[in-house]
Amino acid sequence: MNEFEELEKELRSFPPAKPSEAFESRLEKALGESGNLAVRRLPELEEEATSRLPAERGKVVPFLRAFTFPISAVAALVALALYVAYPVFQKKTTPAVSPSLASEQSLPAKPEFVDEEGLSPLHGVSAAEFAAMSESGWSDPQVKEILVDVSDEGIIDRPGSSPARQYRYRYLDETIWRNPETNTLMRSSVPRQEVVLIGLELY
Amino acid sequence: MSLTLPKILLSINAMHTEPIWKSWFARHGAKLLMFARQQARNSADAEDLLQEAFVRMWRLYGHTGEVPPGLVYRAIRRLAIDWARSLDRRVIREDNVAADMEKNAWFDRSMERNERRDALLEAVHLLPSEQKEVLTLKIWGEQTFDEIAKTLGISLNTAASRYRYAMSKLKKSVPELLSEPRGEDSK
Repeated sequence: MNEFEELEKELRSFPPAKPSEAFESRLEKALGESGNLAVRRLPELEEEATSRLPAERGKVVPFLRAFTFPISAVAALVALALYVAYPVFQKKTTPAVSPSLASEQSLPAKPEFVDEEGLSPLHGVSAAEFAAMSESGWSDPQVKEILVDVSDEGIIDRPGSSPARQYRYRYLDETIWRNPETNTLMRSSVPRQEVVLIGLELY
Repeated sequence: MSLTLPKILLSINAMHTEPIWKSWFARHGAKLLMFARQQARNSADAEDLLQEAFVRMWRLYGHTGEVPPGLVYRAIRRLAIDWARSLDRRVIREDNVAADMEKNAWFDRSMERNERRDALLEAVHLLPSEQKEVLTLKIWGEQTFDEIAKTLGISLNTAASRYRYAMSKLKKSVPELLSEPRGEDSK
């Protein structure tokens, strides 16, 4: 047993002072766009979505829990069967219709965005909202490279070569899209790092 | 690709979201600020230190949604050393006096004050700084000795022994007060 256990427990019971709200706003300002790279959905919205039918939820959820795996397995098998059978089915049906009509039918309106059930592939966005998003009017993206940090990582040995000083450059590659039609601005920041070796001469 | 990515970003904007750094900072901010206060000359400098260290680390690793607190502790420590080097020693001495006066600001003032707590915290403040920083990282920062050693640039054994020295001193400083909770537990 740790001889300081009680003392540790007692010290832990003294909570450190929390940073002020003013400091947090300062931090938010300093972080800028990089603070918004990782976001989470607010819990109250998830609660709102799940609490629409509280009486039914208690009955349905245990049922779903028990049958989740079998249902998923059956769905996966059906999807696989459809995938395998689709070319065969197409070959059989194509002669029945005119070539132009067949090509129209084989190209659904939004094949990459809307699935069979009419659900959006993006969580939290309805299919209608997704389809309404403007595809046109986006100007060419502006790409910017921001140097975040440079660190000298010291001298390293290189087998079969002279030692070198290693520098690490950290960048944020920023891409900005503008849509003047909808007055929308979007920014994507991707971190990147480069390692530069500068050879040293031995005397 | 150029059409798909804007669409994804648009839909993310449409959702009600909160930056992850806020919940991360709510969990670790107070502990980090306490460590920064220990490393800095005064409260204002401590906030500057924490801001600089946190922003640097979050810009590098924030896109993953989780930054190990140890990285921010290390950044605070390195920045504090860099800043101290660039300052006049006289200024540091004067500010150390001011820092002593601010020591009560380290802990949450809303907690119940009593003689026992005051004596223990006073004993913590009287510890040598190298023991105090290990104690802070271990008790309030919840770091392992391995992480503490990396943060402070010392060996694991040194970190562990500094911690033991600090705890022994605290135990000796307030022995009669520490007997109280044992008595309550045994009932």
